[in-house]
Amino acid sequence: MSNPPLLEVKNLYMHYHISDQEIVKAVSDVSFSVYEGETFGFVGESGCGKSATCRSLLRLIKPPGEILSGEILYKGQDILKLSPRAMQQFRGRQMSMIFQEPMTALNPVMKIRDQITDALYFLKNRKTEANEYAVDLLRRVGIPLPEERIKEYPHQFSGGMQQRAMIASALGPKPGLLLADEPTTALDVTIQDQIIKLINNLRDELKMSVILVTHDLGVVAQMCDRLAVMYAGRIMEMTDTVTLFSKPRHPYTYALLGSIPTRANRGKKLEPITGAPPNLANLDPGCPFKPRCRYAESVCGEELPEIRELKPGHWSRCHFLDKAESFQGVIEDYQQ
Amino acid sequence: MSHINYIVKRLLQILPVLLCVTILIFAMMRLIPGDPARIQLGENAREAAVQALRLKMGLDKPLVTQYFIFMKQLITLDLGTSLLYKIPVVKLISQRIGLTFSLAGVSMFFIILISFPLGYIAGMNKDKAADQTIRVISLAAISMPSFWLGILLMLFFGVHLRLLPVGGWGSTPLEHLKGLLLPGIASAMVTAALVMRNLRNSIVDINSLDYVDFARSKGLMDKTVKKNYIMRNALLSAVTLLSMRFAWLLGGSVVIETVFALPGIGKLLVDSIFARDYPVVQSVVFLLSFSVLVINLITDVLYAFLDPRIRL
Amino acid sequence: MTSNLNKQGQHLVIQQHLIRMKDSLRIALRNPSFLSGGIILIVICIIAFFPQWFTDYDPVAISAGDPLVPPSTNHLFGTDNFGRDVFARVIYATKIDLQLAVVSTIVPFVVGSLLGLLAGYYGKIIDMVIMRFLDVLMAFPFTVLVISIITILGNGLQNIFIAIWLVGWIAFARLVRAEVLRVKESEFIQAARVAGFGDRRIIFRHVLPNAISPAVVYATSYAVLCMLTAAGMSFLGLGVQPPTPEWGSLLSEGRSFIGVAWWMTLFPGIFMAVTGIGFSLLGDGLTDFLRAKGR
Repeated sequence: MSNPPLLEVKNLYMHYHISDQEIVKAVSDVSFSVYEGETFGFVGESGCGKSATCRSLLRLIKPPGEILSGEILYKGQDILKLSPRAMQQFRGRQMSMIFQEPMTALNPVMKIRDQITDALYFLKNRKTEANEYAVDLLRRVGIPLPEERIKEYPHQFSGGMQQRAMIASALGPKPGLLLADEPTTALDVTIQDQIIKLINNLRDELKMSVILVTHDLGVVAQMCDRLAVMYAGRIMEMTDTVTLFSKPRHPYTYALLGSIPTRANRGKKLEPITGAPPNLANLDPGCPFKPRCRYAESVCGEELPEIRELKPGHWSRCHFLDKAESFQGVIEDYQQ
Repeated sequence: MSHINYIVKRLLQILPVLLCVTILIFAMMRLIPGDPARIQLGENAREAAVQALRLKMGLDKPLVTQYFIFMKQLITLDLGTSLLYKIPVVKLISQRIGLTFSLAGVSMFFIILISFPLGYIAGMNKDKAADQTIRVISLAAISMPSFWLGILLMLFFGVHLRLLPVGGWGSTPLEHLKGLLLPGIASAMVTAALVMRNLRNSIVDINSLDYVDFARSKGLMDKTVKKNYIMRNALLSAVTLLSMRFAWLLGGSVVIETVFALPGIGKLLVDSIFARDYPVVQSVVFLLSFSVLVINLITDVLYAFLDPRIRL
Repeated sequence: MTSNLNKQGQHLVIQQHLIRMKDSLRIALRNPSFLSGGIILIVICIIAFFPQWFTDYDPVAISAGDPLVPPSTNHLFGTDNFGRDVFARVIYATKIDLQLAVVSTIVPFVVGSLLGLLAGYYGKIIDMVIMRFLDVLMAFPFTVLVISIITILGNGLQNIFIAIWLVGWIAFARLVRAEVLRVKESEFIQAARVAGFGDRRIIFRHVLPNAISPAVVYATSYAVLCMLTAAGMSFLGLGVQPPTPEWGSLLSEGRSFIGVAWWMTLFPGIFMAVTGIGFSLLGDGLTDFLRAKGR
């Protein structure tokens, strides 16, 4: 990791300005880096700002949403400073995105072929060359009989096949970074597995990086090298996948891990996180997780903790990181 | 191949409706008070002629038989003679139907000319000043009687500016076209406003859908996204509405042709009602409803071609 | 004891209803479309019911003044070819046209909604019969169907009402049926059925309130449609007969004098357009309101 990162995001803020009384703070103070060839994950409950972060990276935010401040450096260049025209050329060729619902992300009235070839800016001869290229892409993403299926419309595909077609379409312009927004959520479990493997393989084959957004810790474990846990629009904890699952250092992460079956809590009762995530339009000054946190003390309601680096590469946002000893006990208690 | 099957299937579905339409028109003619044969021939007809027609229509036979005779006349286009104009009804209608369809065509032209750009602008600028302005204008257009608008246009362009004829149809194609402009605009307004709203709402909905974001995320040019992703989908529902409104335009010709003194089948219908020229009335009503059915058929087929999701 | 509790409960329920209605009203009044539409229609209603407050002229008497006088302080909208005050005629016409809009809407609204409710809820044969009937009637353009019925019944105000009633229920039945089909499958209806409530209770207490909103919104635009169609019929001479003032027939009189007396055409039309806009605004506001409530 001595190489400079492929993507570096610094202090990104994105708010929905619905009215002067109602400002939804979807993304606040988000900083992270993605290196070449790795998969970086965002996990959290729905509505915690993972997808909003993802869309901000491609500047696909529509009013009343607005990126207020921050830097998004791709290969050292701040894409927030690109002109609309330059941004249009940046999308797809450098960074591309796949969506949660393949059915709604594909144009219902265009053939699959046209939805792949229309982004192939680098091909001169659109007719034959583009067709061959598209067939090849479909074969790569595992669609049988690609020469035939390419002439069909999205509704003639099954959910899993639609997801594959969407991946093919997104990879058409050869991006260096693929954003995957809940790519498996809408699919059956068996197909989820296939799609996960497919994305992993394509990442290695095409030597690209992937940012994965999901609420599913199982998917994270299968795909990510490093990840960030998000809550109420902020990153709460960020580290490599192994550390996160074995030595989490944030109460929210413990709670998340405690709510799903893992090897660590085998035989124990699963504990759902009580309460609901806060309303992003109406955040209290303190730590957003305070109302649901088991270890909260009075300072948590008054002051928002800074995100701090505990060990190289392991970041966490909590007032009591220094009391690590007492926490550790709790964690181990959890894990036994 | 499947398209042909589909067309045949839709044709077969129309037949029972068409049958019911003829029953309704038959019932309508029998419901008019008085002797049906005398109604067909008029008050001043000679008794002998009325008697002859009575036999021909089978008025001494049961209603079912009378209906079959009526159907036979309809299919062989033996629709009788106009009492008012003293010429066969078929000939009378064929002289006038061109005007009514041209008028509907001119209206359609204006509808598309007005509604597509404005609906697009409103939809792409949701809740901004342009959208609000267009919304108010369309609201006013929907609430206005088209014949009043027609008279105002006539007043301004015909009487005041003397640019276009106050009414009438002229004799050369250019005069025909000039004569159709004002009535075309007048009858276009309501539909233009409706189509505009429809387009605006579709575009607003589509803009929030993932496939537009996905298209942008692939780095497509803005122009391509708007054309292939937004407009192509927004136009789908507009096409259905447009064709439904084509039928409406045919009905509206009744009033607008009277305002502008245009000799089309709408005015023919009104004149025939006043003159108690019932052979013409029944034929025009049948013709109009038949046209509606054919237009609906064409729309369905067109829609099936445009929207691949329709199962054929 | 029990009955007392019951009464208290009922009282509470009524109170809750009142609070909810007050809330709804407050939200509705904050909607600019709804508010402006409502104000326009209230003014139109006042004009319709108390025309004598607005003018001293007689709308019908022929020997009132000079013919074809342009608008002046004496005759606000000028006079017509018989010397009658156009302002008075427009004002006195308001009642008939408002009737045409409202009365011709209410009957199809009630009948059509009921039929749509039955067709949607019971399905099967009732549904099939009603839907096929709709298919046939849909083959006629609205205006042509109204004209055909007037042909059979003869001219006149009453027959216009009957014709529009006979035609109008179609659209309402269609709308409500589609909604009922949607609502019928929802869980709270299933729950009501499992709880053993009777059909009548389920239909009127649960299905109807949840299926009626599109029909209510459509009713406002249908009122405009009725007013315009009825005025069109009068314009053609098939509806309200002279000398009774009605906006459509006023326009028809104006059409004959278009070269010399523009005021005979302009003002009745403006009144008609304003009334129409009132209904449309009300409908627009209702749509917004129902959408907000549905969230």
